[in-house]
Amino acid sequence: MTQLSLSKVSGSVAMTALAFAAGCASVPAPTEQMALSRAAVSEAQSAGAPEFAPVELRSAQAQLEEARTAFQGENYVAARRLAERAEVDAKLAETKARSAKANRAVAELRQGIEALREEIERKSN
Amino acid sequence: MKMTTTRTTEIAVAIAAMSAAGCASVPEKNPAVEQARAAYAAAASDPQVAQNAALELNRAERALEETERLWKDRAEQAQIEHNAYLATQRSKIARETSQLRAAEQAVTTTSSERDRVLLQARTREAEAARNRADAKSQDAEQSRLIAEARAREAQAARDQALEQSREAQTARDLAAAQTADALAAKQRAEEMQQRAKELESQLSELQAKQTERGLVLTLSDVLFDTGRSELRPGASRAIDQLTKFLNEYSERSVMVEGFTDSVGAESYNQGLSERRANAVRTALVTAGIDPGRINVRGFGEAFPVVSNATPSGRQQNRRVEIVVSDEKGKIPERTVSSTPDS
Repeated sequence: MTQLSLSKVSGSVAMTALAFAAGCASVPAPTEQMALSRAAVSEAQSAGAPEFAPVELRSAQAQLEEARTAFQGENYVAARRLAERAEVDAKLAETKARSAKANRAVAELRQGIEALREEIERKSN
Repeated sequence: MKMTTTRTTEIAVAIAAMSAAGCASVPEKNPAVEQARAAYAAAASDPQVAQNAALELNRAERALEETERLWKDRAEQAQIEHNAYLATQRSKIARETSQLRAAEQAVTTTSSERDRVLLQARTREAEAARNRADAKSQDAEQSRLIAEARAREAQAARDQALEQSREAQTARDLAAAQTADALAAKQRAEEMQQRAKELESQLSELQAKQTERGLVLTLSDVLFDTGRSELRPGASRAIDQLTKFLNEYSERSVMVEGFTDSVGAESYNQGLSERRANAVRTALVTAGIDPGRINVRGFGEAFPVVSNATPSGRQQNRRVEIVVSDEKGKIPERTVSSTPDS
């Protein structure tokens, strides 16, 4: 009996723990987050991340892929977390890429200016 | 049994406590949270990030606060680590965004710098072009001046050449004139020589003889009929020659002297000799000789050239002699030794 009562108690405790693990709330499908993450990865790709931030982009893509799998398996808690990670990774990849491109543009502009100045020097001499 | 129940109760309490701890403050070390704090601290300590990426920094801050809350509430480890990761990435995004904004500002700054330099380049180019144009204009002016100078030199050279050509022409003309003069002189010399020859031949035709009084021409009595003083037609040739001679030697004058033989009265012979000399003078004047150049004498029977004893001798003594003067027109008179007999 004791065993039974224990198992009953254990059962209720386990259920309580699960409920807490799920985030203290019911778990809806993270449809919006999935969309946000997909958009973020796409944005990063078109911003030049494959060239300038390949590590961050691969991480984002991989987690987005895992999020999809989780979403399809209706493991929504995991799907949301993976999608959120994919989103911030993609955002970081995009920002890095944009930054790198801007820096490269600055370098090219400075090079152009230098060439112009040299040309001016040559012509004025 | 009792112990089992106690244990079971303890476990249940522990679980309940754990559940309660989910919403209570219980600090506990977590590497992921530490990392999230460090990442945020790095972002927040950079004033550039606060300035350039305020929105992103704010999101990072909220993400970190959520992580801290979960951590204090002792949330599920995976949940804490998940939120810590998100907070860390948000802080990184904030820093990266700050760098992006700085790079974008640099692009703007550098673009305007490039525009400024371009403008400078174009200004200098325009200036250089102006300078080149000025230089070209100066070159053109210089070229024009040089061309003018050369044209003047060429004109001077042409003038000089023309002058030299004129001088050469003058020299040629002079030479030609000199040649002509020389030719004329030669011709004159030849003419004079020719005239001398002609004179000589004329005189020889007139049977001229060189005597101490000069040239003496003798017209024989065949030119006159006996006892008459009119020149026979045959004398015209001799008169022509004499006229020609006197025309050519205008500086010379003549003395016409008439002679007779010893036949007949002496006074008659004197008159006849004078009339015959005058007949010659008249013929010469008729031919155009100035009478002043002709003197006339009658010597009658005097000055016979040969004896009057024979007819041929007497014929030789009936004569008219014409004495030609020298170049000064002078004729020496007959000397006493040759004074005719009266």
